Amino acid sequence: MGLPATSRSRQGHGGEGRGGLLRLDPRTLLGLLVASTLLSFLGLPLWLEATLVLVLALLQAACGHAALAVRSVVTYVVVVATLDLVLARLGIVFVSAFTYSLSLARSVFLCGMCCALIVAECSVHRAAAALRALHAPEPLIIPFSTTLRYFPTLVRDAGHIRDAMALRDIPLLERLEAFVVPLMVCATNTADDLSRAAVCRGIEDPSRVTDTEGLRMCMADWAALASAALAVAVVRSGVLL
Amino acid sequence: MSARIPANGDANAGAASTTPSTDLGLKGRDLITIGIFTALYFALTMIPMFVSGIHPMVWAFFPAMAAILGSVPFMLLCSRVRKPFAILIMGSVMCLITLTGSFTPLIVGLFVGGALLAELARYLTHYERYLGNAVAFAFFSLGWLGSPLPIWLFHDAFAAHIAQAGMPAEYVAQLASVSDPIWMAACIGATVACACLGSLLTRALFRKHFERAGLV
Repeated sequence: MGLPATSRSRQGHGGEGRGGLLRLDPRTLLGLLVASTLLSFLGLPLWLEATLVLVLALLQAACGHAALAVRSVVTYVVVVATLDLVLARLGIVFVSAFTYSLSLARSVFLCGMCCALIVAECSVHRAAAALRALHAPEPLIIPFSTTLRYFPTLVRDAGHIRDAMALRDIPLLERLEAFVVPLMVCATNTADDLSRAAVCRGIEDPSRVTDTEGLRMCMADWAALASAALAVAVVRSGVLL
Repeated sequence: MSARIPANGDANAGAASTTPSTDLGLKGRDLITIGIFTALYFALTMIPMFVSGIHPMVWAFFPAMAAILGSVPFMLLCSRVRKPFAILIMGSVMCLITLTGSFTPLIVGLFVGGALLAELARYLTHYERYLGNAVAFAFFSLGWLGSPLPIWLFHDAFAAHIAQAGMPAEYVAQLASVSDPIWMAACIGATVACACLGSLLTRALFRKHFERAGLV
C-alpha cells in the first residue's frame, strides 16, 4: 500500500530539508537505542564512554543536527567535569543527592543522545510507521504514539496550571490537589477532542493503514546497526576494559 | 484484543466519541484515552523518582510514593475504559517507555505481570466496581518495584554495578544498610498499602470534583 517514490518524497519526512548527509531509518535509530541501553548496563571506562559520546555526536551531526551534537558534547563535558572534578573533591553530605542525579544522568547519557536523535529525526507518525513495519500490534502502536505525542502537551498544560496557581494564594496542603485535578480535567478533554478528530480521520477504519512514509533500510542503516552490535559485543567481551 | 472494530457506518461516530461504548472491544478512542492516561501516570510517578536519590531508603520506598500519585490517572482510566485489556496495554506502553531509559528488565516483567493480575481483578468485578479497580491498581503498582528490587535480589552485583557506573561511595555504603530482606517486605507492603490509600484519596477526588464535572 506504499505510495510511489515521487509521492513519498513529498510526504512529511522527519528531518527533510535539514541538509544532513545521512537519513537513517527509524528502525535503525531504535536499534541504536537498544545498543546504547545495553552499553549503559556494562559500566564503561571514561575514555570509552567519551569515545562513544563523540561517535554518537558525529552521527547526530551527519544526520543534519549539528546544534544537537554540540549541545550533547558540551552537556557531557559539564556532567563529567562536575562529577569528577568538583563533587569528587567535596565530601559534603547534602551534595550526595545531586551527585546521584548526575551519576544517573551520566549512566544513561548514551540512551539520552539516541532518544534526542530519534525525536529530532522522526515525527511521531514516522515512529509509528517504524513500529508498524516491525509488526508491532496496532493496539500498542496507537497508545504508544499518543503517549509520546501527549508529553509536550502535558508539559504545556502543567505550566499553565502552575502559572494560574501562582496568581492565587493556595495553601501548601491544597497545592497537590489544585495541580492534579485541573491536569486530569485537561487530559480528559484532550482525550475526547483527540478521539473525535481520530474517529473523523478514520482511526476505526478496519482496512490496513496506508504507508505514507515509505521506510526503507539502506546501506548506511545496516552499517550503523552492524557497528552498534560490534560495539556491544566488544565491550561485553571485556577486551577494551 | 482487536482494536480495529469494523466500522458500523454510524454517521454520528465522531459526535458520540465522548460517551463510553458498551461493547467490550477496544476502539480507537479507547486506545487514545489509554495513551493519554499512560502519559499522565508516567509523568506523575516520575516525581518521586527524582527525589529518590536523596537516600537509598527513599529509593526503596519510591514505588509506594508513586502508588499514591499514580492512582488518580489509573482510576480515571479504569472508569472511562471499562473494557478488557486496557490495563495490559497501559502496562505494555509503560514497558516500552522504561526500556528506553536503561531500566532493569525486572520492571518490564513486573509491569506485565502486574497488569495481567490487574486485568483478572477487573474481569472478576465486571469492570464496574471501584473495589475491583482498586485491587487492580494495587497489582499494577507492583510494576515500579522493579526499580529498587535489585537492591535485594542481586545486592552484590548491583552494588558493584552502580559503583562502576560512578555512584558516590557513600551512597553505595548506605545501600548496604537497606539490603536486609526485611526492607524488601516493608517496601512491598508499603506499596500495596499506599496503593489502597491512593485509591481511597482518588475516590474522594472523584466525589468532590470529577463526578460533579461529569468526567466519570
